[in-house]
Amino acid sequence: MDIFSGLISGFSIALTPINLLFAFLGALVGTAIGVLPGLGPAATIALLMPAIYVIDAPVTAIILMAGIFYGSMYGGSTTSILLNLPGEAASVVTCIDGYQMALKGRAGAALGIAAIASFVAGTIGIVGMTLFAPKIAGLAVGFGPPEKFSLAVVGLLMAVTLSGASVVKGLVMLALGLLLASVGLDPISGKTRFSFGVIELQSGFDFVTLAMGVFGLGEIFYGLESAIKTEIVTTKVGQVWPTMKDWVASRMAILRGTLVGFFIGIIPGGGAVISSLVSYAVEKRVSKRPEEFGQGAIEGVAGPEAANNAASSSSFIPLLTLGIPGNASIAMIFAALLIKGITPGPFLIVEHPDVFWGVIASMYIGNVMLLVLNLPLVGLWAQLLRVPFGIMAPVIILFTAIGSYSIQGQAFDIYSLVGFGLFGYLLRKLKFEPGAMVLAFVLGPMVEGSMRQSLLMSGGSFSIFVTRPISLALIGLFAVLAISQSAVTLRKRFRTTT
Amino acid sequence: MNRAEKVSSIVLIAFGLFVAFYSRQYLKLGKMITPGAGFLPYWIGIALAVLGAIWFLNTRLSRSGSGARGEERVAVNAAAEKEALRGRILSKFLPGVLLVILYAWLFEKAGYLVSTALFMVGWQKVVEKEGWRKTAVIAVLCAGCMYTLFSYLLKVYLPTGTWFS
Repeated sequence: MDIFSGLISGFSIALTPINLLFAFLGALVGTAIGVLPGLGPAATIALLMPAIYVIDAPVTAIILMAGIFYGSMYGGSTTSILLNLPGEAASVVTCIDGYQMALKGRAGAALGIAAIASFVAGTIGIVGMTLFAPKIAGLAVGFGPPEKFSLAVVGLLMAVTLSGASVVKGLVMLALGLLLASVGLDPISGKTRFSFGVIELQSGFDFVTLAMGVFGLGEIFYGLESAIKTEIVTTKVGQVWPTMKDWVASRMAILRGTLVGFFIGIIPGGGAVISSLVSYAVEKRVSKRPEEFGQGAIEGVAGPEAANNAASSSSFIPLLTLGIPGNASIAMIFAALLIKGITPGPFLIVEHPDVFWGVIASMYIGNVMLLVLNLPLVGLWAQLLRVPFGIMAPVIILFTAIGSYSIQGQAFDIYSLVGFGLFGYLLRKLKFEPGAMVLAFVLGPMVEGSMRQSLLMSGGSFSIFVTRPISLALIGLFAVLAISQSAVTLRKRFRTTT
Repeated sequence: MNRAEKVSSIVLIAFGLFVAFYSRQYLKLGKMITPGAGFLPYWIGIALAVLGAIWFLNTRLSRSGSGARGEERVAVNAAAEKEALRGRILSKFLPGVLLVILYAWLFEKAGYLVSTALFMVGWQKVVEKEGWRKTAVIAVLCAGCMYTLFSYLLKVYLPTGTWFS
């Protein structure tokens, strides 16, 4: 199936009333929850994941998840602009100039340009994905266990080294994720690992419970002891459609941000955070008025918002073509696909063309829906920010508890949820980024399975990972990136000490 | 936080060593050509212990590297913040966590409706210190809305309570 006919068939699936409804619901609910302070895309997807169990068709379930992902990304920018409180790391940059614009009475313009930049970048990103994804999937069809192992490990290591946080802490998260994934029945030997006689643990930890606990409940527990008082700048956002002056100032920033975001988003671990930071730096450098950055420059909102949304689109490329999720949010969509009996990877396009093309087509539609939802309803989203923590927190707790119980109908999952919630709280306190752990948890079975298969193929020698050209190239690529990253860090340290 | 990081790194080292020991002793490492169930967990355990040691050293080095100038003023602020944090932990965090644990325990025993209503009442009274009228309205509305969403719209089975059956 060529790209054009694939896309046509994708639209015929995505435009069915039920899929349109779920794309709309995903975008709507994703935005509504993403707007709530402290809940980023990963937490939003985690909270809403139990919904996929009640949907029969895999393509519909994934369309819903993709809609939630996009919606929560949009919602996060509203919180950043009106509250100066980023829902996640990717929105930190939006706070800088977005909040300043809101303070100057230009909240509507900031929210409007953020929505338009997100729409333009998201759409261009999906076009890029439509063109590149089938080609990358074609290349990856020949991957054997050694290549799969190297790809997964390199992907995980890149997610740790490029995240910008402490590498040691990132590696701890990665190791813990792999360890948690190993709990339960070993598929090869049939031995039960780390269950300590608990029957419910024989099938391992449930991904949804883990994600809801670490991201959702952990966030609530942390909120209980934090003294941060959120103060909304204004609930009257005013004119959201940009003026001609705003548009002239932003249009090139949007295009530059889109390009930066698209290419960085393909790299595992690159994603929305780095792309928004790079875009902000680029805009400040090329601007004729760099002194206005930090004081409410509209380019400082348009560029990073375009970048993080283009990155969100392109981060689906490694997921759908290689089976490698690049960040925690995409890892949840990976898990959702697995729950619905679909293994993401190079064979997805051949084995499940309906899912592959249906999801891509639904992204075009979802992006339009988000623009339609966001521009007129931005005032309503702003009102949602007034929901007090005292009501929001117990409702989210109930949501996660009932959600985790609904998966297998056992109270043990609620206990696991509380355990993961406390663990997530500790991670926040100790400044760990749980994203790497979630990624390692979903990739754990693939890492272990492909490693054991590779060792069997090589007669027990690890040299197989460096004697196969693709595997060697992947390891080499990581080495180059890690060395250059270390060089940049060392240079920065040297500059600050001298 | 420095002390918490130090304690956590030591716990991580101990945990890593336990994982490695358990994997080697009970799960078995197998041969290189056919690794056993304990092979990967064993190396993960070793990695966790090594990373814990690096974390511990990093924490020690960062503390010894910090200068003494201005430390007194910082210490006064830190003590005030610590006191405020302790107050929030005692008045909000601990009761909140205990309520969630209680909710998990009651969920199947008392059933969805009773446990959820009790949880909401407990939360509004103990954590948020709200009046009875507001507490009752929020508890009834939340329990009802959640029941409608999960039971009627999402068709999720919600327990009626083993105590009442």
